[in-house]
Amino acid sequence: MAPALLDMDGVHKTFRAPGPILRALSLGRLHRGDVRALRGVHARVDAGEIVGLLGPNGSGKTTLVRCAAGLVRPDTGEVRTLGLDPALGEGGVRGRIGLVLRDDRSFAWRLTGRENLRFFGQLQGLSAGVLAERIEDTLQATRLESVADRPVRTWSTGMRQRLAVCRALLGNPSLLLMDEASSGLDPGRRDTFYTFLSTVVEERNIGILYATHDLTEAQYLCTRVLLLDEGAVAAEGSWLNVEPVAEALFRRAGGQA
Amino acid sequence: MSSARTTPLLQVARAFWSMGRQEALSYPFAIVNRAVNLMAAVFLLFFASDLVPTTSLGGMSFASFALFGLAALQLLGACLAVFPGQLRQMQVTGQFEACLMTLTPPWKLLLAMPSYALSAASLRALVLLILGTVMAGDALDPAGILPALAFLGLGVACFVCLGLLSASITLVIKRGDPIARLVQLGSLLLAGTFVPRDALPPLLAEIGAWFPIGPMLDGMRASLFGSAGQEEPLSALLRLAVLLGILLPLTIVALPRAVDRVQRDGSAGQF
Repeated sequence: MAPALLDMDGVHKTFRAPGPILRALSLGRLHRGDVRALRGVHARVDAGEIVGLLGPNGSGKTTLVRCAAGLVRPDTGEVRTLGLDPALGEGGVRGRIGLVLRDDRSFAWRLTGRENLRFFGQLQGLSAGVLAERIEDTLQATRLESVADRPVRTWSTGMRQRLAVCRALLGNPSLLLMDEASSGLDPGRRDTFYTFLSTVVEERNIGILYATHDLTEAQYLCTRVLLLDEGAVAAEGSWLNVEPVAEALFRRAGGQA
Repeated sequence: MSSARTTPLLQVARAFWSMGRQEALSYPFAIVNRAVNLMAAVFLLFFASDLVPTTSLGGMSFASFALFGLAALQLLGACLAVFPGQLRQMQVTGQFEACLMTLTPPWKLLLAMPSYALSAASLRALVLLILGTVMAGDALDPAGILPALAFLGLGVACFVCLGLLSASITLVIKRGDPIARLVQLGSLLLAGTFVPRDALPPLLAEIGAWFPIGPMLDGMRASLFGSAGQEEPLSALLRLAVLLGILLPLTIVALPRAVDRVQRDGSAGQF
C-alpha cells in the first residue's frame, strides 16, 4: 500500500480546564471542565481522495484538523503527515500542507488580495518568479483575478474564503486540510467550489481532509466519510455505509438530518 | 528528523517589512499625527531646556540630554509594544496560525514580525539622535561615535530580548504581560532617560541602572559628550553585557517553551 498523506493512529486529545493548581492536583486525571476532544481516533487520507470529516458541532472535527496540521499536539497517539510529524515541523512538512479555516479573517484587510498572497508566498520561501506564477495560477483557478488588486476589506465573505484556498495552494501542497471551508459561500458558488476542489484533487493528485457538518456536502463532495461523535469515530466508509449512522447521529444531536 | 528546509530569516523579515509598510501607508493620517507629536515633543524639550541647569547634566543641554532619552525610548517602546502587540493582533485575526502553516518556524516569525515597526522606530530615533547631537553643538566628540553605536547595538539587543520574552508570555497567558509595563515605567522614571539618576535616592538610582536603557544611554552620552554620562563607559558596558547575558538565554529558553505550550493546549489562535 502506498504511504498515506495523512495517517492518524489512536489520537487522544483532552483540553484541560484552566488553573495550574487544579491541574497539578488532578495528577493527570480528568477534571471538571476538561474537554475530551478526541478519543482514540484513527484516520487516513490517501492521494486522489477527498475524505469528509463529518460530525455535529463539538464532535472534534476542528481539533482533528488542527492535529493533522500540527497546530495542536495530541496527548497520545501518532500523527504522521507525509510520513512526518507536523507538530514538530519535521522536514518542512507544514509547508506541504494547505490549511483553510472557516470565517477566514487571517488576511491583512487593507492590503490587496495579490499583496496578501505575496506575503504568505514569501513566508513559504518561494522565489519571486515562482511566486508570481503561482499567484496568477491560483487566482485564475479560483476566479479571483478581476478583484485581486482591490483591498481585501472590500471583498465578500465568499471571495475571502476562495482567497484562503489560493493561499493554501501557494505552497503546492500534497494535503489540503479544510474546516467548513464552504461556510461563507452561497449555493451557486458552492457547486462551483466543489467542482474546483474535485479538479484540484484530480489534476494535482493531492488528498483533502474536509471537515463539515453538512450531510449534503459530505454526500456529494467526499469520496469517503469519517463520522465523528464526541471525539470518537462512529462510522467510516462510503457515504452509503455512513449515511444511516450519520442521520441518526444528527437527529440525536438536533442537527439537520 | 530535523527540519529540512525553512525560509531564510531575511526573506521572512522582508515579507513582514513590506506588509507593515503597505499597512502603515494605508493610514496616512496616523503617519502625519505621529510626526506632529514627535515635533511637538522636540519643541517642548527645546524650550524646557532653558529651565534646567546644565551643570547636573555634565555640560550637556537638557534638550540634548532628553532627546537622547526620547530616542532610546522610541526603540524600547517599539520592542516592548510591537513584539507582543503584533503577536496578539495576529492571534486575534488567525494570521498567526496561517503563518505557522508555512515553511517559516515560529521563532523566525516572532523575530521578524515587527520588522517594519522597528525600522520606523529606528528612523524616528535616528532623527532624534541627530537633533540631540546638533543641539549639543561643540560638545560632541567625533571619536565617540563608534563606541556610541556599540552601546546602541547592545541596548537594542537587550530590548529585542525583552520584547521576545514579553511575546512569549503573551503567547501563553494572552493578557496581563507583566514585563512590558514594568520595564517601560522603570525606564521612564528611574533609568536616567529624562531625569539624571544622580537626582534620585541611591537605592532607586541603583535599581534604575539595571534597566537596559540606563547603561545604554550612559554609555552613549559618555562616549559622545565626555562627562555627560552618569556612569563610566566601561562600567556601563559591563552592565549591558551582564543584562544581555541574562536576557538572551532566558529568551532562548522561554520562546520555544511558549510555542510548545500553545501547541499542546491548541491555543495559538486564541487570545
